[in-house]
Amino acid sequence: MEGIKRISPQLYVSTLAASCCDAAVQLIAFDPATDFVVQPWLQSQDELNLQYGEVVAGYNLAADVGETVRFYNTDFKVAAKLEKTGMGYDNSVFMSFDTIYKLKDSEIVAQTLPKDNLESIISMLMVDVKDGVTPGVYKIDIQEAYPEDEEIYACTADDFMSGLAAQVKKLTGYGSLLTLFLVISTSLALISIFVITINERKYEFGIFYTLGARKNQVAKIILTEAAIISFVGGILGIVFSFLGITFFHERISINLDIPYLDIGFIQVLPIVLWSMGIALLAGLCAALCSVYMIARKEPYRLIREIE
Amino acid sequence: MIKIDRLTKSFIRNGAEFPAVKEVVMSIEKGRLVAVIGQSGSGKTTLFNMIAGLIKPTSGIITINDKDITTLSEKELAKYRNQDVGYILQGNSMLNNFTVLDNVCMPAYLSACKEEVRLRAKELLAEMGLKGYENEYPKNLSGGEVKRVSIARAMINNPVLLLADEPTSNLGPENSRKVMELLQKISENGTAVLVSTHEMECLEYVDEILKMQKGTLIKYRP
Repeated sequence: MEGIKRISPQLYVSTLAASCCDAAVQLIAFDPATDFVVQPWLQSQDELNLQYGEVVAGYNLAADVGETVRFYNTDFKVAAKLEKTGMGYDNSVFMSFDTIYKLKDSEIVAQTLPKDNLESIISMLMVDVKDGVTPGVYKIDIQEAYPEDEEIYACTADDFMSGLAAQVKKLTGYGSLLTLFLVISTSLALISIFVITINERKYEFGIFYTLGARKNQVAKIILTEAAIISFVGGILGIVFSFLGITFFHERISINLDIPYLDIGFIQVLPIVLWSMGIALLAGLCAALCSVYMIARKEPYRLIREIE
Repeated sequence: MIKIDRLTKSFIRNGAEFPAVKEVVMSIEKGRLVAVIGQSGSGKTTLFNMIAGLIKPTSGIITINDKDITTLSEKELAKYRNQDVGYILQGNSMLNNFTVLDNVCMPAYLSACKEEVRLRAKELLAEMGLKGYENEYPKNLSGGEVKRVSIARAMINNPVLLLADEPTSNLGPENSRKVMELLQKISENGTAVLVSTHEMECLEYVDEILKMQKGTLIKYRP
């Protein structure tokens, strides 16, 4: 077809089981001569020069660099290991076509895979279109060029990621709504707590007025107490949240279907600062209601409680 | 030095105006101990609260050392309450989260007059017979001891006028005697002292007795 700048095949072979792993592993073969997707990405992870029989292992494989992994009773040497991606690549192994053809000699492959034409099948063709060609439009051209009974399906990179992007977007939306709801409800609760607490201490503030305190001094006392309480509460909340995410991050990942949940200090710092800001602001705003309540009363009304 | 001229305070009660204090006229010279007696609800506390600057009168003038306190701003009134008048409130008026020493020092803390205030507070506590109680908390003190701490606190800034609203209420005879003796000593040192009470035993310590009756003040005994 017209409009193609580069094209490269890939072959996907799924294992039934492997000594290295709890789950099936995806073996992904690419052509080093024509590949423009996998190799550049692998090179970005580490300097790489895959030899025959060598593989690049995903993060979840229990084999380190230099060790051997066995698939379909065939040994492969691990030349490099990927960092965690949070996606299916964590359970994948990358190799050249020459290396995957080692499986031809496996008896297990003979029983489970069509090994006769192993060297003539591919799972996917990666297509890089020329400048000016829109991938979404070209996808349709491919589908129209090949009838459905040939079982050729075209999709763009966005199609692959759109599910994940939509999931993250949905979660972010829910998260923002939940955060807003929590801030509002917590602020209202804080206002109630502060008002009740200050109301219980009316006589104390009446004493301060009797001893010669000005209204701004009493306001300063209340706001300082609120700032301290909010600061300590913010710190405790952040610590407990961090501990909760640290100890339960796998459960959270599974339940919320977030493939990659990694929390480093630098990534978390803006959230920490934002959370502390909200805690302080909510506490001070709540205290302002109490300040207003105390300030509008004549001093003698505050001390009447003790008469 | 303390002059009160036709002082009146009215409240709204059940939609109608209720005069708690009606056209009170009185004067107190420095060094005098004056008692105001009267039944509960006669207006004694309202009168004291106006003199202390805690309520604005409906009408009338209160002059302390030629200064009309009824015209003072909120900031000036706070300064007046801090510097010029010491008020011993009825009941337990301690700040329970502060030690005895900090309670006594509190007026000075509020006015930022912190120089040697703790030393003066300790001297006052010693005069009150409370030496060694500086680091106690009010909840650990008896009623009589709390009242003496209140007196010390009221005197920390050397006020010209000391107000004591029922200072011997809930105290036994012995503690009542001690408190009245202290107030008498303070007045002999030059401070004008105004005491409200309905206990006749306290009257033997005073120089003059005034009586509040339904908001009106009448001279009872010179």
